[in-house]
Formats: sequence, C-alpha cells, structure tokens
Amino acid sequence: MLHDACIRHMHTLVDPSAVANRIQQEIRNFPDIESGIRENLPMRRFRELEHVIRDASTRVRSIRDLLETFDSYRDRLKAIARDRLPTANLPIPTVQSLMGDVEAMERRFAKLLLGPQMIAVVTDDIELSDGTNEPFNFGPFKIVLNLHDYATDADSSCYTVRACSPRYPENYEDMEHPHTSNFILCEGSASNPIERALNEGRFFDFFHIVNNTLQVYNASSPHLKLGAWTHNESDQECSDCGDDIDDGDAYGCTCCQNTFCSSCSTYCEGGEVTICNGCRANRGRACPGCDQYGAQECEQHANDHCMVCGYIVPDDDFYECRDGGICNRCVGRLRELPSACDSCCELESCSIIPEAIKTPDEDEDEAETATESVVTGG
Amino acid sequence: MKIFFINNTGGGFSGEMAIEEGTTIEQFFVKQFEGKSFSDYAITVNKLETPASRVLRENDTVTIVPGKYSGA
Repeated sequence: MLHDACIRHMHTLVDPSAVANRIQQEIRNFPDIESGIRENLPMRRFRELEHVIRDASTRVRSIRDLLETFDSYRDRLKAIARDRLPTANLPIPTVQSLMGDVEAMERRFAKLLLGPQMIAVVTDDIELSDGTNEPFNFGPFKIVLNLHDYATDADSSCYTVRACSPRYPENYEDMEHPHTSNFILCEGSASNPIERALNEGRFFDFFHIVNNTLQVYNASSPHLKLGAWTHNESDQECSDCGDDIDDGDAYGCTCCQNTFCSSCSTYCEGGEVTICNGCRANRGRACPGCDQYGAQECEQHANDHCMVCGYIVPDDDFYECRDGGICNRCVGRLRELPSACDSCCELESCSIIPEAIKTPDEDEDEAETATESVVTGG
Repeated sequence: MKIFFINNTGGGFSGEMAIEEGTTIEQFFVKQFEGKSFSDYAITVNKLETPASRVLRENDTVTIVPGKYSGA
C-alpha cells in the first residue's frame, strides 16, 4: 500500500528521483532481464516498468510536497483543535492519518490532485432531479481545499466548488449548481459536519460530505431552482403573485434579481430592463434602465399624468397635489391665474401652488425659492 | 472493547465508544441509528468500505457519512 511504503521510506522522500534511478539501475543489473533484452521480449516490460517508476516518482514528489505543507500547518491544526473543539477526543491528525485520507480519496473520487498549497478532488458527474422529471447532468465538479486558507481559518471560506464543464442556465451565466454561488457551496444541513471534519483534519470526510451535498437537490431553498436548467414550467413561479410561470413568460427583475410573470413586472424598451412592480414602487419614479423619471418615453410611466395637460414629465418637473399631480409648465400657467389650483381648489392648503401665487405681490425671487422648496419637500 | 466513532450526521460526534466484542458493522449501525436505512449511509472502517457483516475490532475507526445532505 502506498501508505505503508511512504511510512517505511520516509527518509528517501528527500530525493524521489534518486529512488527511481536506483530502481532502474537494479533492473538493468538483473541478469534475467539483461538476457531477455537481447531477445527483445522483456524490453517492452522494461519500458512499462520505466513508465510506472516515472509515474510513481511524480506521485511521490507530490505527496512529499503535500506532507511538507501539512507538517508546517500542524501547529495551526493543534491550535484549531484546542480552541474550537476543546472536547474533541480524536488525536491531532498525523502524517499517517493524512496518508490514509489521500488513499481513501484516490479510491473514492474520479481524480485526486495534490499540490503544495491545495488538495483537490474531481467528483463523478453530478445529476440532480426534483423527483418528477428527468435528472439534469451538471457534469463533474472540482472541490478544492486551499491549505493556506485552511490553516488560517478552517471554515467554509477555505474551499471552493467549481464545475469542470459549467452548464449555465439561460439568463444566469454565473450559476453552476442550484446550491452554489460564486464557487461557494451553501452547505445547509452539511454545515456542522463540514466544520467538524475540517477542524479535526479529517480531509477525506470533508470531501465526502461536500460531494454528497452536491449530489442532492433541495427544492425548498436553492440559490436557483432546478427548473432554470431544465426549463420545466412547474419549477418557476412568480415571486410576487406566486403563480406558475410558463417558460416564455418568466422575467428577471434588474433590481432584485427575482423572477416574475409579465403581470407583475414591466419592461422598459428605452432602458432595455425589466423591473418588478415592487422594486418599481420602491424606486419611486426612476426607471433603472433609461433613468427617466417617469418621462413620456419611458414605458414604465412611473409618474401619473399631469392632471392639467395630461403629459408625463420627469420627476423634478412633477409636483404632487393632494388629489394628483401637476407638471411644472402647468404650475407656471397657474401663476397667471388668480384662482385656486386646478385640482383641489383650495388655494391656501394646496401643497403645489407656490407661495408666490397665493400672495401675488411677492417678488419673483421669492417665488422661485418657494418653488424650490415645494420640489425638495415633494 | 473500544472503537473510535465518527458520526457526520447532524451536529456530529467524534470520539471513543465502548462496544461488545463480536459486534458487526450492521449491528453497530442499527443500535446508533434505529429506524434508519443502512443503504442511506456510507460506512467505512479505517477509511475502507467494508461489508456490513464485518466484525469490528479493537481500535477500529468507524466513520458514517450520510448519502445526502440538504444544501441551501
């Protein structure tokens, strides 16, 4: 077993190339092989052995690098175990334990990658299903544990999860899995087991748990529903009214990123954005796409029409009265009228009509100041 | 006799446990996870996948990993 061999020959790991050269030398010195070489038969076998030795030499070199890194972080691992889990009954991970994990990962996963600063595995294909439709194949994922980050803080920030061949859903070009975002796994019920495994230096358990979390679709709380990949109607519902959304009737709000039906959202052709009714109300009159504050050309028409002229004007040209709104141009016209505002007919209490109009003898500057105060108070 | 048990379910547990001589993996599982299905878990002994009928020995490390976790 690789584990036993590494323990026995730890001293030779200083220079694995020397070990490989020595083995090759011994083979060349062996009489049977030498005579066989003349007959050309064992030459193939000799080449095979050379290939195996070269391969083993590379692997031993990787493991040596990993062991050196691991050794330098053992003090940190001790501190983690002491500070985080004072009741932990397992010993601090040893080199032997690490080698056991490496072997177990080799058996369990499609691929194991070892580096001076990282351990990574490649999973089998991840297929997810919501139980009612055909599974969707997300392909294999690479789980990468950064040893430097791990030694600094053994939590979920020390590893990443990346699709080997990402399959993005339409309109979500950074979503690789229903339960990952920006290469971070949302661990859910696996959070405590992952933290314990990392704190106790149980690397195989850690990768095993992360793999098993990726293998399951939790329909109750994904980052993005599986339907986004499968285009299944039953998997999309409007975030406002809750109705199921047909595939062609699903719109993503530019502001909140949720999905809405056409009745609960509006599309601005000028700004080429969709905004849901909720965000539209929260933003007041500004369209996030075209930045027009309720202007005529904005399809969203966040403002009401001016009750005098009927036009939709930008936000800072629109004054709200008790019963509606009036545009600036119409306010100007009203200055010429001695009577009350067109809407509320109550000159004294009207919030739109500038003070200058209520008291016609005021000079023009005061009238402009009053106008500004109406705008800012709006 | 004494074994090390690493339970990766729920809040998790890792530590020594005393069991009777001759206890098999399956018997140990049934006692720890009464009502649960054996096939829903990956059980290793000393990091090796082992038949359920295998008799546990002194200082064995038994690790249980659920086959499914619910991500968020």
